[in-house]
Amino acid sequence: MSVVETILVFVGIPLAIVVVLALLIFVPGGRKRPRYRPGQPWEHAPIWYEPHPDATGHSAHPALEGGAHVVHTHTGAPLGGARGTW
Amino acid sequence: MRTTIEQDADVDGMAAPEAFPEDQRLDSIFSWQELARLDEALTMSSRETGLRFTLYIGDLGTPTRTQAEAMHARSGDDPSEAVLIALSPGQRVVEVVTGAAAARRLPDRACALAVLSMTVSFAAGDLVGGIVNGLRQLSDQAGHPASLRHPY
Repeated sequence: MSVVETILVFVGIPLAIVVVLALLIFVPGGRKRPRYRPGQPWEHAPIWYEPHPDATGHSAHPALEGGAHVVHTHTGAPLGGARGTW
Repeated sequence: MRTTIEQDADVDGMAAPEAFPEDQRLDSIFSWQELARLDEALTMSSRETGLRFTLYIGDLGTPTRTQAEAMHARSGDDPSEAVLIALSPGQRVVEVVTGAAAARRLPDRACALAVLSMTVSFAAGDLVGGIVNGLRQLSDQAGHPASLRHPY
């Protein structure tokens, strides 16, 4: 092969591959949501997730909206659970 | 004057995500895929065990346990059968609160095991994975409700 062909094949092709990969990696905008890292403050508003209403056998209406007229059945029974920190 | 949100909502009952300001969008904290995973985990755990699992993510004040227990009491019709996972990433605390009936099926040591695996995931930055695995562990420990057990 001539010198030009040699350079094109052994330098040009790897260079082209590197350029294509660099474009694919660095050009897309990146995460819209910042990744959570422990130690960062939590800036989002508090949010509460509940299961699908059909999942529980008894009728469970959204409780937080009905806070004004929910009858508090808290009988003082001890609550269980666990706690963890990191 | 009708707003964009109302006009869009009439079409199929849901408003387009672009209609909300940036920080009110439903996917501002978790992506839609992550929200689907959370929804599935909460719903499946609740359905399999018959207990009502809910999840709170936000600040818990001080002391965190008191606030978590107050939220648990307001989490539904029957707090005795409810389990609340309260997660405060800013304070790096997770509280699991079980009602009286739920605690009979989910003793504190089972909750502590789930919390341990959850904190390991959270420390690595994986909130959704930690929550989903914690819910799976809790529902495995709680088992099926008594009415579904066959009297062999």
